[in-house]
Formats: sequence, structure tokens, C-alpha cells
Amino acid sequence: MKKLVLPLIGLVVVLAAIAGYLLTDNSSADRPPVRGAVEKFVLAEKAPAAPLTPWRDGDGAEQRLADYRGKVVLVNYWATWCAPCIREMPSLARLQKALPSSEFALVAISVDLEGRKVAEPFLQENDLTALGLHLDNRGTVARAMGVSVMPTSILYDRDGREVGRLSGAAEWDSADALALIRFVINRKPAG
Amino acid sequence: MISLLPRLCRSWLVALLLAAALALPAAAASSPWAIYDQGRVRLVSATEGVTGDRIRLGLHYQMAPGWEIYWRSPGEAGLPTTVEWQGSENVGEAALRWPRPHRFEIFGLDTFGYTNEVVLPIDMRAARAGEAATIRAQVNFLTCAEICVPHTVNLALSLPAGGAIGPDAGLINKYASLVPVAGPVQGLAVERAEIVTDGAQRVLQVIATTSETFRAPDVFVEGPNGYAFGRPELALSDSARRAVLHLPVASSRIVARDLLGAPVTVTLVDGDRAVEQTITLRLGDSERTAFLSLWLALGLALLGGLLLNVMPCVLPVLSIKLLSVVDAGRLDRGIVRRSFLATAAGVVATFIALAVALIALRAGGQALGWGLQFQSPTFIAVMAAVVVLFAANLWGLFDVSLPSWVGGGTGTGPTGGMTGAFLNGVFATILATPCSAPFLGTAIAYALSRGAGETGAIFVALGIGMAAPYLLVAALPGLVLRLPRPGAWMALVKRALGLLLLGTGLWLLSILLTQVGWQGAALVAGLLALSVALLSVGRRRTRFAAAGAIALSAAAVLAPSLTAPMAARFAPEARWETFDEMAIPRLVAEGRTVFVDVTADWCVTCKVNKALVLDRGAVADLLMDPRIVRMRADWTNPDAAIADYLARHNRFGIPFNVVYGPQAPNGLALPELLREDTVLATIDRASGGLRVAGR
Repeated sequence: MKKLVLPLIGLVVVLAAIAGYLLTDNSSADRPPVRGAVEKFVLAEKAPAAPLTPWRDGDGAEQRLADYRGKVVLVNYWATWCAPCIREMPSLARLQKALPSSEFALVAISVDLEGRKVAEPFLQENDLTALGLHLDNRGTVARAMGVSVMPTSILYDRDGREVGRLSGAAEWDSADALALIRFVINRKPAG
Repeated sequence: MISLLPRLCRSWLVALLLAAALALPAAAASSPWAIYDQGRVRLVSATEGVTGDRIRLGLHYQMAPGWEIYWRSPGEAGLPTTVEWQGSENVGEAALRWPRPHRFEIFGLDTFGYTNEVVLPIDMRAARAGEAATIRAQVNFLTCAEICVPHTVNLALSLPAGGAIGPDAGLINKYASLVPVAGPVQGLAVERAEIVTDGAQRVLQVIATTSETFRAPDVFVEGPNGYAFGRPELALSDSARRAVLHLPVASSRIVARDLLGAPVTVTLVDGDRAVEQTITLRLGDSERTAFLSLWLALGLALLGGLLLNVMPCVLPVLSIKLLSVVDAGRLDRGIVRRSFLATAAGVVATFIALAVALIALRAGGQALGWGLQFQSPTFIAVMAAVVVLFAANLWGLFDVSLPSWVGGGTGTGPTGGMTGAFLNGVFATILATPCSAPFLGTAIAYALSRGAGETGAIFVALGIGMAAPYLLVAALPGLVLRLPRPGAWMALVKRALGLLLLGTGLWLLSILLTQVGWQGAALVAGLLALSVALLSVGRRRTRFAAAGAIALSAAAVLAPSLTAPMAARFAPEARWETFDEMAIPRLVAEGRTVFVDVTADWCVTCKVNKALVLDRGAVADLLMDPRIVRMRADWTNPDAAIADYLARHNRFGIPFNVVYGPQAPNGLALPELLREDTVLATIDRASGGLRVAGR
């Protein structure tokens, strides 16, 4: 009998592993599609709530993510000194156009130290004024969101919970990116 | 056995700790590394303490592959490093200096900065000279690759009062020497920068010159706010000593002022040489004609390649090949055709190999032009030997039949002939490298200033051009077969060709002469003459003579590498006295001129100065003058007196040269990089016309 203990334990472990695998595989049908142009998108494991830290808009008024409750929001951190950010910004502007503003909002936050002084001319110069001015020149919101790399884009669901984030440039108006965001828009509210 | 293992580990650990403990004092002149995800950075000091009122520091970065930090002007995106010194003690103003940048493309944006490793030299003042200082640096910098990561790190370094030169002085000096200064530097200069109209476009035209040849010149232009200058289009002159660069001008919608009349800072970089000049922009005339179209360049390359065949170094090769066909008597057309095709393939293949080597070297940051291998005396000696023996053979001095790669490979054998014919093409091309032909320079200058694709295309065109006569024969073998039957005329032609080759040989020896001196060149010439003589005398005892000739030729080939150091040993060298600052006023009072050279074994620039200026030519001759006292201060090892001497002259690095004389009792300091004319002129000024008076 003693001889059987070890093999039995082994069997149980293997079965448990298979069960666990099958269970996670089942739940993955509910996971947002992350592939192709957005394959570097990392899904958040715990769906943390967005921080309450405010940033400022072009007029100096405070804004919070809570102001966008009910919409799916893509927060994008950028700066005029960041080449990959500059690269992806036109695709962000096209993404904004592609999705209904009643369902989706794009918040592109500049972390330029000089704030509006450099960010506004940059947007004008590059025909990106549609993105709007969102300024975090002290980087406090970026830090609160755990952002240390530029560009970083964080996707929040309608309840203001983080779906996941992507560090680096991406084609945000690609079919893959649209599929990801539409999935979150169409997902039934949790709980 | 098992019990030994932990003990062994422990002793290793002890050894490691011991090594770490021992390493600590040596690292005192630098802060610990601050490690960040994409690299590490530290603060280094040139001295182990504060010796004067200046502190020489460096911000030393080592970066993971692919990560960039930025120059003071980052280009289209980026941020330069900034340093704040809050919390430092005994520290005055500090200036960050910027070694010449590199150009990088990130996501289609042109950026300027550094990769792998860089030291940003820092010139700092000590608030109280010679007293201990504590340096605290808050370093803010941005590093980018596929993503950008801003960092802030804090570095601290304590420097005691006094102290010798530290282990990192050389590192700081190396990068300090890469900081662009107002030109001209080492012959590199910005001749002018101006606005020209190029079609409907306004472009910034920069004309740059160099006394050496340009390798891969680039310019970085910092202009008034609102203007950006793109990647330059480059045209080099035939000699590659003058470059025309056209930079597209982009202006933002809101510009404060017009570009005309605005000052811009032009930084010209070519390899490790860099100059910086501030220029007020005016309108100029476009030198657009300097820019060849690719088609024109290809045409010139074809023509230049073709003309190479009639240049003295190559003409004999083609001629011999033709003669070999005649000599072989009636040959099958098919064989002639295949043989000439093989030679043509050899020519083109060698040009492709040259292009590949060129592109590879350029990718590695180096660059070379046509015939750069001619800087190797051994190569020249080999070529001279080959050419002279070839000539001797043409004169019939010996009957040894030449290997087919020289003789042309008539292709009489089934396969061996083909290899020989192919190698004949390789040989012809290598022989051609010292030669230039009309249009060749223009085409090669174009190739050197363009990307890999254009370089390859130009070299292939050169190869096809040079192979054209062979291809012609391959297409119409009847041409060769119609040559007159072998006869007396052939001997005459061979003699003439031999003379040409001898001329080439003499020319090669003349290059050798300038490289290794007359002793070396004479030795090579003598050995070659001897081997030719041996061959002609021993015409009957062929094998013996050939062996002797080969031995002598081999000796001739080796001679330059042996004689070079020998010549240096026997060259009369001015005697240098040990530096004695106290003795200088007395010597000057006696009417003597004192030339001071502060040098060190680790100082590369000092060696350059020695090799190019001090130990040769007019300067070496003048320094032999008994009225000049030569003093050398050796700073290889730390020496407080020398450090102090340098500091009093506001210098913190070497080379440092000063001339004292009746007209300059306080000394005239020379620039770090010496030039013959400046040294001569300064000695003249200090001595009150020693040269004029003496001769």
C-alpha cells in the first residue's frame, strides 16, 4: 500500500493540472482578443480600478478618469521627445474617429515637462488637435497608473477598471486593435 | 571529496571579497554604477582628489545594445541629459560637454545621440581650490529604443584635497577629444554654410573640406527655433577632400524669424574628427551639379573601369592575355570564349568582393577609399615584386613559364585553365587598385557617399567596365584569332609592356620610399634587382635560379616590415632632457629656447604628435639645433609637480607643449594637436627668429 502512495499523489497532481488547464481554457472565451498589431497588449490580472489622481486639460481644468465612467477609455501617455509616441499618434487619432464617442473615449496625456507650451504647438503642427490637450507635466498621473515607459496605453472598461496595457507603439486603428476595443465595449458589465 | 567542495567555495568567496576590498581604493575616483533597466551610469573623476580650482569629471554611460541617449540637440525627438548639482560641497559652476554625436533613425525620425558607451566630460570649478569636494549629481536622462524610458539617478563622489591622476583620466580624455571645437581641426573645416534654392526648395548647403580624405562626413545643424534640418545629401569631390552637403529645411508654421541672417551652429563630423562653427546664414549659389545622378555615376564607373585597362599597371595583363592566345597557336573558338569569360568573371567578382569589404567596413564605422590597402608597406612590396618579376619575364630574362594567373590562362586544359583564367581576372583587378583612371575618382567618390546599394552598383559597373574588353573577345573570338602569327613583333611588344611594368614597379617603390624611408625602399629594390639578375644568369639552371629568385623576392617583401623599426632606431633623435621647470628661467636668460613636451605612454594624441610633427621633418631638424633645450615631462605615472604645472596653465589633459624663449619668458602654449607650421612659427616667435637667424 505504501508503495502506491507516491504514484497516487502524482496522479492527483497531474489530474489537477489538466483540470486547471481545461478550466482556464474555458474562461479564455471571455478574454479580450489580444493578437497581431496588439499582441504586446498585456491583460491586467486583477482589473485594478483607475486612480483618482487628476490631470489638467488645455484650459487648466482638472480631469479624472471617473469623468469618463460609462465609456471604454484608452489612456495614452506621450511626449514630444518620444519618437515611438510620435509614430503612433496619427493611428490614435484615426481610432478616435472610428469609434462612436458615446461608447469610447481616447485620452492622450502629454507628460512633457513644459506642458502646454510644447504640447499644443506639436499637436497643431501635426494635425492632431482632435486628440485634445491633456497635460500631466509633473508625471503624477502617469506614476499613479504605474507608467514608466513611453508610450504606454492603458485600456479601461466602462466601470473604470483596467483591462490591460501596452508599452510601446502600436497601430491603434488596425483591425486587431479595433477588435480588442470593440470586445471591451460589447462586454456585459461584470457581476 | 565532498567535504572539500564547501571549503573550496568558501575560499573562492574569500578571494572574491578580498579582490572587491582591494578594488575599492582604486575606484575612489568614481562613483558606484547606478544601474537602470537599459544600462548603467556613473560619475568618474580625472584625478583622485581636488588639485587646483578645476575638477574634471565625466558622466560615464554604458548602454544595452540598441538603446540610445541624446546629444545636446536631440534631433526630431529626444531629450538631452541634464545634471543638477544640489547638495554638492565646494563646487562652483559646471559645464556639460558633448562628444560628437551619431545619427540614428528611430521610427522614421532622425535623432542624434550615443549608443553603447559614452562619457560626457564635465568641466567643474572648485569653489575653494585644492580643497576636498563632495559631488552630488542628480542626472536626468532619456533613453529610447522601441520605447522611451526617462530616468533620474543620483550619483555621489567624494574627492579629497590633493591627489594624483586617477585611473579614469584616460577615459575622460578620450571622450573629451571627441568634443567638437571651433575648426579647423586635423585639417577638417566647414568652409561655409548658406541657404540655396534647389528647384523650388530652400536647402542648407554646407561646404566642408579636409586635408585628409573624407570618410563619411555628416553635419548636425542647430538653428533658430522653429527650423529643422534633415538628413544631408552628400557629394564628394574626386579627391574626397571637399564635400557638398545639402540639408532639407523644414519650418514649423509659426516661426519667429527668417532663416536668412540667423546664426546656426554647424557641427561637422567625420569619423572621430569633429568641428563646430557658428555661421550666420546668407544666400548662396547651389552646387547642385556636384550631385551626380545614379545613372551618370554608373556611366562614369563603366567608362572608368574600361579605361583602367589602358593604365600602365593593368595594360600588360590584358596584353599578355591576348598574346598568350596568339602564342598558343590555333585555338578553338570555344576555348578562347570560355577563357575570356572566366577572366571577366574574375574581374567582376573581385570588384564585388571589394564592394562587400567596403560596405562591411563602413557598417563597422570605418571607411576606406580606393587603394587604401596601399598604406600597408608589405602589400606594396608584394606588388612591386610581382610587377618586377613579371617585367623580367616579358624581357625573356628567364624562361620559367609564369603561372596561368599571371600569364593569362589560355584555357588549354579542360578545367585548370578556367581557374587560371578566373584568377587572371582577380590579379588584374588587384593590380588595378593602385591605379586611377579618368572618371574613376568621380564614380568612387559617389559610391563612398551613398548607401550600400549604390556602392554595390557602382563597383559592379566598374567591374563590367574593366571586363568589357574580355567580354568583347568572348563575344567575338575571331578578333583574337585574326591577330598576326607569332613572330618578332611579339618580342617587341613584350619588351614595351615590360618597360611599362617596370615603371609601375618604380612608382610602387616611390610609395615605399615615403613610407619606410630610403633604406627600406633601397633594400627592396636591391633584392628585386638581385633576384632578376639571378634569374637571367641562371637561365639554364632554371630550378636553382627560380628558387633563389623566390627567396630573394620573399626577402624583398619582408624587408619593409623589418627595416621600418630599424630605420627608426638609427634615425638621429634629439636628446630630451627631463623636465625641470626651475631651470627654464635661467636657460631663457642665457638666450636659449626651451621646448617642453608633456607626454605619457597612455596618451595617444601625444604619440600622434610625436609621429607626425615632433619626430619628423622640419620640426625634428629644428629641435636638433643646439640653441634649443628639449625638455620632456613624462606623466605616465602620477606626478604632482606635472599636474600642478598643467593646472597653472589651465590644462588638465595632455598633450601639452610650451615654448619658452627670450621673446616669451612666460612660455607660449601650443594647441593640443600639433601642426608643423604652428610649432615652427611658435618656436620662431619665442626665440625671436631662431630659424631665420640660424640659416
